[in-house]
Amino acid sequence: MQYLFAILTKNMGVTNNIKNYRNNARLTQEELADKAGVTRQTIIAIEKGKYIPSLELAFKIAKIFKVKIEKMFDYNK
Amino acid sequence: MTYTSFKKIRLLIIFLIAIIVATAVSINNFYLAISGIAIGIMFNLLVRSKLRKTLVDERVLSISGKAARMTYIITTLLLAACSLFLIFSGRQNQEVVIETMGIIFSYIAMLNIAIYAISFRYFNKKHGGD
Repeated sequence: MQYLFAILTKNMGVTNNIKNYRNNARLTQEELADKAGVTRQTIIAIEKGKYIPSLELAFKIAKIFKVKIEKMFDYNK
Repeated sequence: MTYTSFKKIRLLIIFLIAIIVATAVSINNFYLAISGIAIGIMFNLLVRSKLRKTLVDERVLSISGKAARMTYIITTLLLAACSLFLIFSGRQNQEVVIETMGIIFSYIAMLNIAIYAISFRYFNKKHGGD
């Protein structure tokens, strides 16, 4: 699934499954954006693979869902 | 305050500033125009502080940085090309005004490059470069 996502996102390299975690936690994109201190558009862009977050933001998002960053983000090249 | 109401209030402030500045221009009052703009900026900052929402984040900064770089490249190249055209055109037609405009454009292009070089050096040092 992550490999397919990487192809769809034109080999962005870094993939994520934030959307799954967000749905399981029943959070909207807006709520996640408020918790992470970013705009909703940024969360949308990250979920679609169009934007690779900084390390700091990646750690913040992983911390919100109480998971390790390696479980949330993956590097495929 | 919601983002929708923030946008409406900001639009209202811009509208009011426009009316004040237009009035100031029509009655030839410079101080009224400046006061209107200053009060508008203050109200804008006040309203912005009431909004508990992130408007500018790392993605927006990244995009604006890329856009600024593209703008810098395009404007500097355009200024340089225009200045060359004006200088040579002015000399050919013996038009001093056009040649002078070309020289001014070339100085503006060089100022652009100098400001970019200085700010690049500053941020490079700030982020661990030498």
